[in-house]
Amino acid sequence: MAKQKPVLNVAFIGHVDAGKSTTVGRLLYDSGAIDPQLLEKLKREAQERGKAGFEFAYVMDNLKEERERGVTIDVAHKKFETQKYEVTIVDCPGHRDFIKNMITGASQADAAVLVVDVNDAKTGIQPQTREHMFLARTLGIKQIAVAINKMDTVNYSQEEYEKMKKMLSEQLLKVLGYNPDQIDFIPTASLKGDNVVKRSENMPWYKGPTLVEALDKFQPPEKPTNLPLRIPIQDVYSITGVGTVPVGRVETGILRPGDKVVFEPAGVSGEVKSIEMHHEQIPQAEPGDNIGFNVRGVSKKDIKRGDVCGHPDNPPTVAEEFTAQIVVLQHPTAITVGYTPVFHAHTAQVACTFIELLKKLDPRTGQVIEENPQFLKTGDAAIVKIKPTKPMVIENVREIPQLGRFAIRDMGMTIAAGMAIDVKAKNK
Amino acid sequence: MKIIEEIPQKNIIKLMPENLDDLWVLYNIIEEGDKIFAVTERRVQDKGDVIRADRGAKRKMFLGIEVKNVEFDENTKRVRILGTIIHGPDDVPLGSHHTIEIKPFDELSIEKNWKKWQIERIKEAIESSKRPKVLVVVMDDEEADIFEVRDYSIKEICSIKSHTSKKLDYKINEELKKEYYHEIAKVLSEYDVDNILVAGPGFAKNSFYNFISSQYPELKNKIVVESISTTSRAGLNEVIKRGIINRIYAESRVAKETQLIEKLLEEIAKKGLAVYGIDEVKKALEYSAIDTLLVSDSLVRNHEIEKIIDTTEEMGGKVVIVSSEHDAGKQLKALGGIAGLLRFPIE
Repeated sequence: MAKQKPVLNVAFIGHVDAGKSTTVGRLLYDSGAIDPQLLEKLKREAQERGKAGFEFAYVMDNLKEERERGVTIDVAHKKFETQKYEVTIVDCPGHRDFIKNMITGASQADAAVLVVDVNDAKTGIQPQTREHMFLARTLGIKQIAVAINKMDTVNYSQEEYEKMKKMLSEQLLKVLGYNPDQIDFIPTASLKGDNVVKRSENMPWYKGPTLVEALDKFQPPEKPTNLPLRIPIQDVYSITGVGTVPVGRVETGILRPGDKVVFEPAGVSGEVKSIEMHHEQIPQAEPGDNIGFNVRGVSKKDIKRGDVCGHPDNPPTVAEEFTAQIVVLQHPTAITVGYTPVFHAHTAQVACTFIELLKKLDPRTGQVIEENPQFLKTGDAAIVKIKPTKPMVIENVREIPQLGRFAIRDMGMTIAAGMAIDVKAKNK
Repeated sequence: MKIIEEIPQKNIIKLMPENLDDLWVLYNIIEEGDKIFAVTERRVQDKGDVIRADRGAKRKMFLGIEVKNVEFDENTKRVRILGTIIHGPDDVPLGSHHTIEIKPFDELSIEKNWKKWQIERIKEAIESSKRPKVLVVVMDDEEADIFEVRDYSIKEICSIKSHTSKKLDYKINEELKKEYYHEIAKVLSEYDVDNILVAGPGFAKNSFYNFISSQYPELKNKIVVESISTTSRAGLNEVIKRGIINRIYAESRVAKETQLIEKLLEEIAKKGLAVYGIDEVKKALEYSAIDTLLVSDSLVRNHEIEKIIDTTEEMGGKVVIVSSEHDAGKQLKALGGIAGLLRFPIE
């Protein structure tokens, strides 16, 4: 089947209980991607669980624990069509305990919608709103839109909307290098349906696009088809009658049925039998496509989240160690050699040790201010040497930028961000 | 560790190590020039006509050696003490080389010039043998890592994956989850421990606890559940740094050392009450400013460092020898292996 519209992957991010899942559910329902009967069923289930109002969130949250607790735990994908795009929505968890799943989700996105509660203007920017935006930036998401949600709780007040917009622009977006003038701030009430797909009658003062119109304003993603094939694996299924089906987003290169592929660092290889996107077979997968592909000769137990698929003639690089340029965003003490936090790169999460601090840089100019510093602290930029404690795939950012970036987390915080500038390969 | 006999007038202490931690202590306190007496095995050659090479029979004997070198092998669980023979049966030539291997439950006598921190270490080792044994499980819904807490280090036992997924059918997921929990519980049952700490982000730890309560009631009372923010090794580090271990393990050596290093890094970052590296430490010592001296165990054999340790103790400062077997110890090593927390700032 030929593809008519370009594919766009959009991650929904933001603090817990801002209404990400509900916004996504509403978006799908109002665009006709969900059967009204199903929603009726979910509504009953939500009421039975004493969680009335969660029916839209239940569209995406299908795990038993997610529904019981009313919290998204893992990312969920759903497809729907706008005027211009075939959109894959990646609904991310907002709770801080599940940030690692959020990173997996955000690493698959071309653009992001930040959902915030309009009432946050009174209390300040929520910690995960801040952290998610940091991570989105680190993962290279350049296009964002903001949904200022729960407008119904402030009587659709323009004043409250402006306050929130100002706070986000001044305290977060500008700091991260986004230009607030180029970002749509959409006042929404997802539970009621205002400004998601249907233009709201409650907010005549708002002249901008609705959320779905804002999605159409995003630019289509670049397609680095000339780079070697890389598909970070998000999950692996074993389907009766079909076989092993890894899923993930094609970052670079092209995958076709019949291709021989290799998974690193697992080191196993197989042959691609078929490729599917949203339950439809496709003849080839390009960058940006979120696909599942059936591989013969590989068992489900062989591969896992964090592995990367490539062609055997140019396999993904497994790092023995790598040199990275990092910026320390926030750290309560100091970073020295021997420090071992968790590195999040594409869908992989691996604890890595700092084995050498090579240079401390001026964060503004990039000039070397100290050779072989003894320690690094908040605000420092540096070139460091890193050794993963378990095998992991990371690429030189100059060769395959999509797989060269990473975020560093420890003690429940994102403490630094960076990119690999030299990789000592184990498998080449 | 057990002290079997003490002969203060001869500076001799007779010890019996009981586990790997105790061997580690021995490895750290035995120095070149010490005298070690123990029962050991040695081949003795018949000095008659040697027509065919005869390696001689192995014989058990009581030997004394003067130490030249000490090696520690974690895999075979042995400390190897290399030296020259100074005491033994008549047919063993004095001055020839011999290696005494010490494994847990071997007795040995050490004659040496005892230093204060070495005695402290032995006392701590005796205390620690009375402490409960602890396993730590760091888990979420995808993966569980199990660690054994020892006194000077923490050992990774295994890592288990769940294979559950949001896109799978509800029933299959529940089955996979059960399988996953069973697998963890089986590993836990194999170890004879007093306490099990189950820590992790999210809800998996609680549902695991409920599972244990119904399926493995014998484990239930040993389990303590705690919240932390990440899984894997970083999660374990969080458990140690936040002092969660201390609550069930009384005073854990690893936790104490890790917290001191954290304090040190905090002070360094603030440019506050801390110095690191030999030169800076010496300078701080001239001002009598050192409150706590932190020394990596990889350095204690060095004479210069020994002098610093002695001077610090004379001035009333505390000395802590930090094991280089855990992450915080490696960080100290990276800072030159020696650092001090200060009583007052010096310039």
